[in-house]
Amino acid sequence: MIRIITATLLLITLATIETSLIASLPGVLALIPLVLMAAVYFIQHRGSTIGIWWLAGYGLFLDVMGIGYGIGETVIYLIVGVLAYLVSQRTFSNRSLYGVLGCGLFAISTSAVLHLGFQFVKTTYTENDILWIEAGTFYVWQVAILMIALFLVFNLSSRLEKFKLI
Amino acid sequence: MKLIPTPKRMRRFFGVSLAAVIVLIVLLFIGGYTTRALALVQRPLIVVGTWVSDLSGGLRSRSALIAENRDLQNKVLALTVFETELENLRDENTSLKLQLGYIMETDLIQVTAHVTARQVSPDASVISVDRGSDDGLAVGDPVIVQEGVIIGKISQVTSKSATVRLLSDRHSNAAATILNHDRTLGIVAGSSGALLNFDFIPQNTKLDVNDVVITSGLEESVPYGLVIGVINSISSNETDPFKQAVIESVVDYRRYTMVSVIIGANEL
Repeated sequence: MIRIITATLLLITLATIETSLIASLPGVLALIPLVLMAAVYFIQHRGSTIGIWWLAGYGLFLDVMGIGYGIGETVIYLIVGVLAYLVSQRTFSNRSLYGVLGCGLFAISTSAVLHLGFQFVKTTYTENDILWIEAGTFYVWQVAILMIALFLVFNLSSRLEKFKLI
Repeated sequence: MKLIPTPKRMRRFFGVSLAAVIVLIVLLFIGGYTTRALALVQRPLIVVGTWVSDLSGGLRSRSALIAENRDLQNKVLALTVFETELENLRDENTSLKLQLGYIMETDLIQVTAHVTARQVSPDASVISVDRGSDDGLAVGDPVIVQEGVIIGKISQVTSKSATVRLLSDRHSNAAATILNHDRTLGIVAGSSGALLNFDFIPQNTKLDVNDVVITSGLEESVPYGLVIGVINSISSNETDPFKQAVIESVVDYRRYTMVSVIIGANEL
């Protein structure tokens, strides 16, 4: 139970930092997907299902805060979490750097496809089209930042594991 | 590869799942209170992030500053002309008020709110604030900074918090008027980036770059005269019945950590 409470508090902390501090930073620094990065680390490197619930919880956090797509974010991030976990178990089964980066790439690509799919459905009810170039640029930057961040976290992971928070 | 989970893993999985679902449901139901409590942590984080953003903005290159200075000088010139026109209108307005015996002043009620979160997305520009329906906020209320520059409208409200859809959001729009000779009416809508579009301007309308665009007062909750921005460029094709203008806001929406919401404007 203590682990669950710790994990929940940690999720809220990371989500708060991502939507308040990071989102206010200039340029591409605002695109750091902190929660996704942490979730991928736990799913792939630690083999923990907590990453799935972190992603679902992050989606709910966005919906509760009113800065998501209605109930869309909870569903999208839950799907991303489940698929990332399955991929980590079946495809990227080793816990090497390449496994973590592969799982991260898969997770953020799935998130991008689902978000764009959600937007595509939304455009059938509104006059706005999807801005493909802007969306493409956004996700390319986010992928690059996630890869760099996962690389750094992977190399620091031995130190992080000493704390044994989760 | 562990394809078949052990009973211990399954129990652990369902235990975690159950606890997570309970926590999430609680969060959902007490969302208003959660956001208010979180706002205590979010406010300083937003301030720090915005400070870093401002700091990096000050480190721009010299050539960029020279270009900005030239642009600002042009704007000052245009605003000086506008101010003269405004002074004439003020005199005229005072005179008309006296003639009509109009003594009631318009008292718009403003509620100050802190920005608690920002959405980062290619599709939307949305912020969250720490005031809600308990403070009198309602969907459609205009959100302003600097006592009169509109930056967005309330799109969603809970008892303790609200979501603001910024004018730069692609799903945002506002009834507007251009302060030109004809006082052209229209709709300003968000586009990609920080610029706004003013469409369906009749081809024969005379417009100039740096003309000021304000709210027209035709929307129920949005009063007349809130500054939206200035015309940045005009695109016109003589064969088309309409021309378009690109509007640039006079403020940077991302630099504000505190905003004001005008409430009850439709009741005046």
